Amino acid sequence: MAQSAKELAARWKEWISREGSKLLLYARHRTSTLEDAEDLLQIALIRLWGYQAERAYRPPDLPLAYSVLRLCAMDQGRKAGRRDRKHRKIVEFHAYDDHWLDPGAEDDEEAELLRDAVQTLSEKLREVIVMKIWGGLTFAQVAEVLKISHNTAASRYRYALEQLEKKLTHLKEARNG
Amino acid sequence: MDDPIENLEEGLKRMVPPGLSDGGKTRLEEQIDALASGMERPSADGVGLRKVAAVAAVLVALAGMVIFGALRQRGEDPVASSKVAPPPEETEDFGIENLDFQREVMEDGRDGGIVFGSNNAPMRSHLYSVREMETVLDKETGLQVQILSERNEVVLTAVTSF
Repeated sequence: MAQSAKELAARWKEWISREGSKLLLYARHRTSTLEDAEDLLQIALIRLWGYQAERAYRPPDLPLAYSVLRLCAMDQGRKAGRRDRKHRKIVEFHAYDDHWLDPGAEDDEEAELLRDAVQTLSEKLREVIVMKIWGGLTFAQVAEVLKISHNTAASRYRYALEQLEKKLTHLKEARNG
Repeated sequence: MDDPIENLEEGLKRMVPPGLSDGGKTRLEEQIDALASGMERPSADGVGLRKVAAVAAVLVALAGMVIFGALRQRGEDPVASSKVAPPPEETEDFGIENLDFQREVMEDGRDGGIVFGSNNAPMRSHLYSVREMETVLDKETGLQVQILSERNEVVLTAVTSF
């Protein structure tokens, strides 16, 4: 199947405009700033392109894109080193003020609290929430991306929601004095 | 729907992830264009790769001739072979004819990971162990000389192949 470079580029651009925000959200939760997240996404894009050479350069499925993004994030993390990661962790919680999740237009106070609660989840729990809720992945796909069992993926998800519920209640109480 | 967990799930789904920044989107689109145009270069029948190999072979042959000639001018034996006659008198014309050139990849491209080239463009690096064998004819003496060279090469590709 011959396809021109223009057609191919158009297909990938359409793919990135459809899936870009889902992937960016995942990248965002692995990096300290939006710029770093976009850099990570670009690196993953390059790697995905290479992987898809065997598949006529078709834009990839979302689970594969998450897997590659995760690998790239791990590579970057290794390069950055433990010391830098420690620093990043500190920066991360302050940098979240730039809203890695924007509540919808009908946003209310509860949505804002929920966003704050999501941001305090551990990385392991948060990534399952990110892929399941905003990526629309099934538990089987989440399990495949994270190299864990289907049951572990499902129980992490459930546990994350329970944690969120507790945090939300706590935040509401704190806000109401 | 009274289950607080289900309510929470619904609340999360209503929240919208932010999109790419304008700059980020532009960068990704430019990257896609670069990847797509790079894909066209090495055509399916390998013509592109053959051209690269041919150019490399010519360059190596020329380098070999220069080195060979320089050694001859200095009166040194260019190769460790007893068959090679003492170098003739100095001459501007090296009098060397290339008879054969073979290039063998001893160890296939190990992945060297992504590196950043000029303009910070990401490139995929491949590490090759290469042996080249060149056969040249010294027109004056009629001797054929084989020059063997082994080296490691790093090839950077425009991230079109891994």
